[in-house]
Amino acid sequence: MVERITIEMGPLCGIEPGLLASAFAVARAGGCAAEAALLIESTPVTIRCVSCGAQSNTKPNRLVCAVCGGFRTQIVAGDELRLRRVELRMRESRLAPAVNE
Amino acid sequence: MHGDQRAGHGVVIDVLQDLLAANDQVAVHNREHFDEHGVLAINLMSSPGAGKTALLEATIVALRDRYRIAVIEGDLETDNDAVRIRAHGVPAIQITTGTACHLDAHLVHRALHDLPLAGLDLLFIENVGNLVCPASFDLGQHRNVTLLSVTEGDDKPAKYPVIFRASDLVVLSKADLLDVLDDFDPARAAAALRALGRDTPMIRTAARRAATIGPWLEWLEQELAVWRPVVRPGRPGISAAVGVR
Repeated sequence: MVERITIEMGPLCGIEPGLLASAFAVARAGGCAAEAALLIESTPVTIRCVSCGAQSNTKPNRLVCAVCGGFRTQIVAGDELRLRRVELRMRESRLAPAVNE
Repeated sequence: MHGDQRAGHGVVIDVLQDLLAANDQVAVHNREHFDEHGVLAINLMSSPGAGKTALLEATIVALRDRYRIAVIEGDLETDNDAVRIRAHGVPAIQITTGTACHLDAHLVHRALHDLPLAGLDLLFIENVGNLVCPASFDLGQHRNVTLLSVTEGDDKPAKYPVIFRASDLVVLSKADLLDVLDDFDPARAAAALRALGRDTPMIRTAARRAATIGPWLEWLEQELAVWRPVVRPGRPGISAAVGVR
């Protein structure tokens, strides 16, 4: 049985955490994840400046370098939508052989 | 999967898999199809009514004698847009998404079965009119183009950073209306776009006056020229084949 699912997501991934959580409540019904909890870990938007190399945390619509003002930046974090972790609870009878340590 | 650990009676599995992996795999597959056939695929996005189909119509009229063009149309309902495109003598496949507000790689892949890629130079994928969801789904395109019509707000790039950040070109459409609209400032739109941390070019078009889509046609021809020789080194570049440049 799936006990908990952890999703890692940033503001630039295009998905709303609150809406994903309410959709999850419907999507989990009836399967092995029917009672699973959803944990959403939000990552901040982090950019790296191509010109000066500085790394800074910023807002989704303010992606210029906070240090030198350069507008050529790379997104280091904040656009991911990732299944981070799944936590399972094994049935007693299957516990010993099924678990791969 | 890796990092299995015992945690009481449970098992913790670190997965670290992108939730859109299934879509992205099909997108890679689509892109391979396009590359194999030497087709430049352009994903055209905007709000509803910004003039994507009108721009495509004007583009087809301007370029159909020199390039072989096809269009995939995404709409919730009707094949009206595909009918408009076909009227210009160009193949168009309509995808009706029902209640879905965007195209994804699977939908495009299915459409490709009805669209012979051999012999094409340019494929436009007109996404569903929406500035939110289309930005999250890779279709296998080579370039993203987003239209911002001047009848919308000039702060759209600040409101919809994901889609504008993903754009290779922003087209200010219906720019002939700037004369009568005093609340859209192209400089403000450019500043909002610039704040997204990429030097994305912004051009103006007025598709209803074919003469004023020049910058858009120039951009397209430039992209065709720089892209083509890279993916198909064995064949002459488009410039040699059709005498452009």
